[in-house]
Amino acid sequence: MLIDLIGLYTNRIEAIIITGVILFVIAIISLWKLEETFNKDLNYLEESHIV
Amino acid sequence: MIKQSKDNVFNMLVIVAALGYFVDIYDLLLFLVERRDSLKEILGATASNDEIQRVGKQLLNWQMGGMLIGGIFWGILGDKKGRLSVLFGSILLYSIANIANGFVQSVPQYAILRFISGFGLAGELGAGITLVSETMSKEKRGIGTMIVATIGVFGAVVAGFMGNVIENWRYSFFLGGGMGLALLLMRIGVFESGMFESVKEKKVARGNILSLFKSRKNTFKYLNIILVAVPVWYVMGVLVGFAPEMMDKLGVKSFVPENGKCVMFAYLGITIGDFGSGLLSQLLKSRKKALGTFLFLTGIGIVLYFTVATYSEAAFYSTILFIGFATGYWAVFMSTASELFGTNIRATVTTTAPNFVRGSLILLPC
Repeated sequence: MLIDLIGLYTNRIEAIIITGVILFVIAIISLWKLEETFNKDLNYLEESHIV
Repeated sequence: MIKQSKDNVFNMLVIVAALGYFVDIYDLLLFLVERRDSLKEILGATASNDEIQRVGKQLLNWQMGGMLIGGIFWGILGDKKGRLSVLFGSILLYSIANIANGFVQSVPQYAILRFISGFGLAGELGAGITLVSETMSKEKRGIGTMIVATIGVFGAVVAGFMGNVIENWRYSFFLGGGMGLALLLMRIGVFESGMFESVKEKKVARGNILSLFKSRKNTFKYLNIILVAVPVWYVMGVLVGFAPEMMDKLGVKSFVPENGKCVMFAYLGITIGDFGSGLLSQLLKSRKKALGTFLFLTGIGIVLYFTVATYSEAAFYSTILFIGFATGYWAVFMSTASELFGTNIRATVTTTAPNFVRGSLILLPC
């Protein structure tokens, strides 16, 4: 779908490369925003779920 | 009996979760390996290559659809009824579906069984990783998930090998189903997570997937972990899965990549990568640094694929091996997913995240 969409403006192989770059950049930003969980204590509840 | 202790990295639970994932990956890859032979028999000798490819893609979509729906179902069930019931329920379901798959006589029967099989396959990994994370000490749980992922992914290498050894495709499905049923015997000696047992006693909503989207913070936390792993399926689903077409489009004439060989090299790399990323995360005492290192290597792998890999067959398969290694951060990804949220929604997140990553492939058809 994404490759097809980008492929409307360029050739197939460039569309695949551009898709890869987009996904890679999004992954880097997501990782940067991600919480560090090593050594995190897992024995807790999500507050919004307490009824 | 091997005891289930917080510091024993080879406890019964880790072994069962690892073997469950091994059978899970074996069954997932088995369909790709046996797709051609089985469809040739079912569609008849006169079926064209295009028809086999078209029906094969349809069946793969049925399996993927089953995985997406199953991921949500098993995840919620894991938080409501317990991780153990999901672990063994999913193994039982996909094992029976695979044995039944060995008897199929028509495409509609095949499609239904691929859907049921995908539905069952969606639950095992998330439940297994959740259980391992909740029962082991925080210092050792990363090693537990590393063992589960490394042993599990090796199932892909075995599926490729067995596909060549077993002549009749029906027997391959019987073997996959049989291995799963044998695994159920190991149920004795595996216990439910203590964290879940204590939550069960409390007045608290469990497995409410919609509540993940009620606060901005939780929504982004959930989306972030999924998006970190999407490049894995771009690489596996597009660059490795469609390698012959890709090299053709890149104008490579000196060699034609073989699909089976690509999958074998890639999964060999992933097996080493899963071990490496898990170990790195333990050494650095950080999930993010390990994920960052392997994501960076994935970026290098993608660049190599479009440049160096086109030079020769040896350069191509070396790149596939490297790119497999670089995308082997699945173990750390699963660990992180299970550690991000509280006990009352943990199984839902850990089970849905990998299935949504796998499902993202639907958005990237080549």
